[in-house]
Amino acid sequence: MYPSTPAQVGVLDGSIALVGHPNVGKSVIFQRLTGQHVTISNYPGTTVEVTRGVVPSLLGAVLIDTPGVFTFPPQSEDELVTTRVLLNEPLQAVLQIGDAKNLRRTLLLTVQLAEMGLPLVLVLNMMDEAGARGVEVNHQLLAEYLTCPVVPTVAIKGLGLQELVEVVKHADHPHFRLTYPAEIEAALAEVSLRLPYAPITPRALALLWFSGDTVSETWLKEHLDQSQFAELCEIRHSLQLSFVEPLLSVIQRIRLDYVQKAAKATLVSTGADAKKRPLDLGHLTTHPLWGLFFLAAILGAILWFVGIFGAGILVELLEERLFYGVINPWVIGLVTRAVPFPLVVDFLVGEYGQWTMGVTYAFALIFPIVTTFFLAFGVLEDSGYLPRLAALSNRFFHAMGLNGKAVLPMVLGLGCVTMATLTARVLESKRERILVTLLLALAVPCSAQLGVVLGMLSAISLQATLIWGGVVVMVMLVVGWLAARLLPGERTSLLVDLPPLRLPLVSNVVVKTLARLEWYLKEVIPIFLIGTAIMFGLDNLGLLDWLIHTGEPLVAGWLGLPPEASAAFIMGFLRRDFGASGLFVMQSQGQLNPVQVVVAMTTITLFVPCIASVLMIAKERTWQTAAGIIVTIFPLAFLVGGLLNRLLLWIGWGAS
Amino acid sequence: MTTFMACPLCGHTFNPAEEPGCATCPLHSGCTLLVCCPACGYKTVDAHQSWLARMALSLMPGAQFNGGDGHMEDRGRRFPRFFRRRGRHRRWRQLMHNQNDAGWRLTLLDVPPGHRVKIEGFATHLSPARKSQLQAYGLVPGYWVEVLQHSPVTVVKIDHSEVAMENDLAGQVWVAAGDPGQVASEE
Repeated sequence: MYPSTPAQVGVLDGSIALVGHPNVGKSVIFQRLTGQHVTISNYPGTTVEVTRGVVPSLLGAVLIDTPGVFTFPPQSEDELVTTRVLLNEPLQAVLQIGDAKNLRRTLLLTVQLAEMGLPLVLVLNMMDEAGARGVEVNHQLLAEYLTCPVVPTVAIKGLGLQELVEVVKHADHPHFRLTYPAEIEAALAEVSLRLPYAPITPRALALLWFSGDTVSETWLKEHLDQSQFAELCEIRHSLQLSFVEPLLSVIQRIRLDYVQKAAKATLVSTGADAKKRPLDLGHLTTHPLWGLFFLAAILGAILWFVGIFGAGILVELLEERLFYGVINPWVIGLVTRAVPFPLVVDFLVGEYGQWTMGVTYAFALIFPIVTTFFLAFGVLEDSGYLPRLAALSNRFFHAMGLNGKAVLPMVLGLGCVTMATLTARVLESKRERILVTLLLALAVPCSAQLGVVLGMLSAISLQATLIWGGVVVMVMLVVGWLAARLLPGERTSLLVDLPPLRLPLVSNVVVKTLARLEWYLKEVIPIFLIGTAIMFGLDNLGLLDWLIHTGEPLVAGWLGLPPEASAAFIMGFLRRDFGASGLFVMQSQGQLNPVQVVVAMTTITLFVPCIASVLMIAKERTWQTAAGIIVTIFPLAFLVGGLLNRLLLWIGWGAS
Repeated sequence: MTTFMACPLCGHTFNPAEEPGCATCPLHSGCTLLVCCPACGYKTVDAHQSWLARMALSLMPGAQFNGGDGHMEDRGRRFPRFFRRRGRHRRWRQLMHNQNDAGWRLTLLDVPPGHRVKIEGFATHLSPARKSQLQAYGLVPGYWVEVLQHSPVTVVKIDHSEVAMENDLAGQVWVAAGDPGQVASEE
């Protein structure tokens, strides 16, 4: 079969990387191998999640679940991380998870991994689906073609995993070598001598760099001095001169030819002549008309689960009943009795106290929302619906310089803007991430705010609601359109794989949600405490009153609102729905007329999102980006509000 | 011309484009919907020409013109008719963007849903990185793919996977129209 000089069992140093296309069951295999002990964290220097877990059956080796990758050199920011794992982590083995029914696509990646020379195992997963479609693979022969073991599995049923563990224990370096055109071979030989030690073979590293990969370029710059790197660049440059086509295309073609040969030899049956399956649900979800019905139903379900069940019922239970009713009075009493200094008491349990504001917000208000949110997100992620949603909504986002993949954060923003900012990482380029973050902060109201806003507007008339909605959507389109033209870089056209719709595995969703919640507890709650401390400082130094006072001319003069409303806008920065609630009280006391309500609601919807999401933007992007977004949004919200006020007064709306 | 229909009255098979039976009618110019059977003169409707009928069909995924409306389908030979309709838009687009680098090429965008074609290559101005990405998704010169839909985006089936791409991108993938009979022998 494959050449195997058994690796020393027991001496397991370094981790094992799971690599593969998206949606081939990587996370299911990961979960089956590691059990419940996983940690999700951002890969150093990026905002991309990498999950790590310990495999008990492999003497506690650490398994790394990398983001799905289609080919090297990587295209999206997620995929870059996978290359970085291969180049920088001490790895004892690489497990490629492949889709058995799409053998040729799988093999293109296998060939590239095998060239890297790390001990490799190819896992042909979803053998059951392949069987159902009439695909049969001769995996013994395939192993000979690839010089690495091939293990067929059905991960979702746990089939083949026992064998996989055994094979991984004995995994060895593959002796795989493709022959490239003579010019490339000569250049490879020359470059290999000058390369520093790398975890992957010098040949693979050089090929990766010849293909124009940025990760290996950064790596080379770090490990070589300037003159050495310049020599390499010289070699690559003169090599390119011997070909009309880009090097990447030449290299890729050799690999594709080999893949085609291997696939032809090892595919016992391709399933091409299997009888056509009847129309399935998947096709309806991307249909121009029926797709929209599906979308409406799914959106409705998510908004109900996160917005009404999570943000309504659960928050009510936890905040009103548990915290304000039981825990907080007890804590306040305890602290007041135990601490003699009034300032410290105030810091802990006062209006902007660490416990009464920081901890209460984090656990009573946000915790239930993010839990329901992560659950809904996990189900959606595992069902295979998200790529279809992206395909369906592509046209709408085209106008804003984005592609369909932006739909995800935008829709989730209606639940909670802070959490949605986090999911902007699914987008391919930095430019798109910034655009989406800006639009989220500007025009997408979170569920908490949406409830108050809709309540106030519907009390006036349907027309008021339509004016508000129309203005907000219009601002979003105009700002998106403008920002897309101002930001450097090009829009990437949509290209996504549409996996078949599947029923998510309950255990997988639960484990993922728990791991994400742990991340939330560790990283987000400190932010809440810091934010509360800042508010406490502002209040104690008298700056808060000063800010409210300074804002009066703007609020009263330009927006035409009563001066008391400026307090609501300051509160609105702390949490958007707080600001809206302040205005709600004013409306119920009869201090606002219909025009003022519409203007105030529009302004506060566009206004800077809550402090939590500003901190999240700063954490996910940079402080400069967060500052830039605030500086854009703040005048814009007031400009639109003021113009709307003038327009409504001019046409005499709501005067009767 | 490529589509044949059977007269619902006498059963004579004819090609509506070649037999404008009502050419003598003074209202004939611009009228493509109604056709007359050259054998018996029976006047019937050519549903292929109606955008309303096409739209209704697009709402019924899987449905096809056949039997019921008197058309005899010849899948292999139906291509050029569709291309001609699409071709107008394409030539316009090429003029607008000055992409006419290789003359008139058939692309994925021109292939009507439900047909299999062989990938030939990519537009020359496509970046190598994008090209390698398309190849990684399975759009490799020499592979056969089946086009499933064009709206709202183009979806193609490659082996047993489906890939969605913007129509823009689909217009940069060159294909060769072939005889569907060859499909079995491709692998």
